[in-house]
Amino acid sequence: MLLAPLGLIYLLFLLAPISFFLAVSFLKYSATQLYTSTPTLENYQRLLFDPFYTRIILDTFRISATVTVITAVLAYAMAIELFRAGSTLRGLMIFAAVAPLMLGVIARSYGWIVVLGQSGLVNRVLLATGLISSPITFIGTEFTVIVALVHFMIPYMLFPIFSALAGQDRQLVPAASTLGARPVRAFLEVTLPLSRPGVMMGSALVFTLSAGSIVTPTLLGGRQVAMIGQTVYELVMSTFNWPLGAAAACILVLCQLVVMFLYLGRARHAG
Amino acid sequence: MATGAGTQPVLRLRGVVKRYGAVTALGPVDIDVERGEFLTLLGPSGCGKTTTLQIIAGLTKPSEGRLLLSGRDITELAPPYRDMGLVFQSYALFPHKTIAGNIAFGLRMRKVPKAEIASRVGRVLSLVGLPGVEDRYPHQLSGGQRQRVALARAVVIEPSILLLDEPLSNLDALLRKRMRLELRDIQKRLGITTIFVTHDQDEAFEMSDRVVLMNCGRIEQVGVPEEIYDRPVSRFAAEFVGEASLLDGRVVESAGRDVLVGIGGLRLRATSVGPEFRPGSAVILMTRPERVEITETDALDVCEVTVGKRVFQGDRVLFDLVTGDGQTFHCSLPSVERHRAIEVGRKIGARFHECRAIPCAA
Repeated sequence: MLLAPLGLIYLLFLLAPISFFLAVSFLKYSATQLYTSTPTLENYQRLLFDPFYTRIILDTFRISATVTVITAVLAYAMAIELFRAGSTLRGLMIFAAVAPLMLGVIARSYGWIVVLGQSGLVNRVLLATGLISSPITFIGTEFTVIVALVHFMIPYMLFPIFSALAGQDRQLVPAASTLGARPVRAFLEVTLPLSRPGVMMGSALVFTLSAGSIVTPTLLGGRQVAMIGQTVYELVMSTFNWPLGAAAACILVLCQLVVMFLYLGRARHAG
Repeated sequence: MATGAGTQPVLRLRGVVKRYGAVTALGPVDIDVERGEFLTLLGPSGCGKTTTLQIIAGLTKPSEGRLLLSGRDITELAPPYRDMGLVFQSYALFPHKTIAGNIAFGLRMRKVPKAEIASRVGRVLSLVGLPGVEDRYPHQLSGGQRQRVALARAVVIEPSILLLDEPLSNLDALLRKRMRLELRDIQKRLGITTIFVTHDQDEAFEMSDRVVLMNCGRIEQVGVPEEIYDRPVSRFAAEFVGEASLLDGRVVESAGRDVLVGIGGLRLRATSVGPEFRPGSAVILMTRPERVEITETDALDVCEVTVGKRVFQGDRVLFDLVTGDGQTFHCSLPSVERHRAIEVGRKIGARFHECRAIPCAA
């Protein structure tokens, strides 16, 4: 009974739109209409075989995977610090981690331009100290996109990991210690394995969010970086090639579903 | 008892203190633990017994004092190097490892070869009565089984000292009673020096060679169970260990340790638990309920009492006996017909055997 409104929301806002562009992705494009009613597989053929598009798909994977790994390492270290912190420090740390989410994605991205731009903070410091003679170009590189994505994704990884750490029996590490495990060993044998559900949940979230990002690669990646999200946007909003755009969106959703199923599968196995 | 005269204590605590800010939670305490003995730290919640155990294990650093293990100062040594096995109250089994994995943990840390690990794990599981559970996980076992695994894990590494922090608290009463005997049996067979923490006086008495009674961070009394029961050195000790009637009185006459104590109109013979009291000293007179004799005959050492309360407890009947001037003594008699027939309000004679005179608090 209570699930009815939730079911309705899922139906309206999730299943219906996905079904719509799933359908459109199998239709032929026409320059005059958004989409015709002729069924075809050519959209998928283009996306999966045209090197221009395959490169975008692979790059998206690569960047998302890189972001996920870096975020996992950083967020884990932060989660440990958060766990050890007293309540005031903890509050501050949580605020600092969540703050990026409270701004809009555009404001956040422009923030990075301020830091990494030609006349941005980093370049000014490096020039002033004489370490470089001319400004380094950060904006318009994959590096900057990854840095910015990691920055935004930290909270999505931090809280699941922190949750996993906080949920562990406090006496497990002391027990390992009395049995002869030094701190690093105790961490590797006890804490880390038990935090795996948190790491996996965070990784699934971060990977799917990164793969679908549009604004960050557009504002900070320039011409060099092309990710699937941007492709979908351009095809749908600029080129008005809805069938191709819909197919690209479906491929993206499919990848994200695969990641989610992998996560759920391993999570169930671990439980 | 496993010690011989002249054997060095295997563990010594000297002047150990633990402070949290301005509060002194423990100390100073001095304890000597003899090789092979079963020593219990007994006391109410908050008395410092668990803190002491944690300091011995190295999980808490003392604010002051030294710890010596077989003569070696281990005060600064971290837990992995102390060669002790600790059984936690909540068992702290690794949920993601099998039973074999849990027990093997300590052996792996000590780089014991794989083949030997397997055989030692098998043997210790048989020892604790759980053969064949190697491949199960902790969540698949019952509380009692988990407790045995925790014990096996601590014991398989053959530590110098075995530490147990209220390991039986989470078990139901019947299982608890059984585990007491089994635990003591295993300890005797292995001959491991054991330090046991509990708040349960029956448990402490049933299992221990010696008991360290603690209260408010200090040691109240140390001794074999019978000694503490028979000659408690303070009001707290008398009350914590067994039932007691404690009345304030004054020494009327004294001859060495034997005193005559006056309480209101009564004059009772008692033995001092320690000091030699001078006439006029204020003392606490202690009688144990089971040491009260009911009699119809009139004699010099028989007091006239009225039965104030009666509680039937199955194998015993409990009475409150009230003297002429209102002093109340607790009495516990075997549940035979003669005693069961006594009702409230009846006037009878009571003889108080083996009374003790305890010093009043300083």
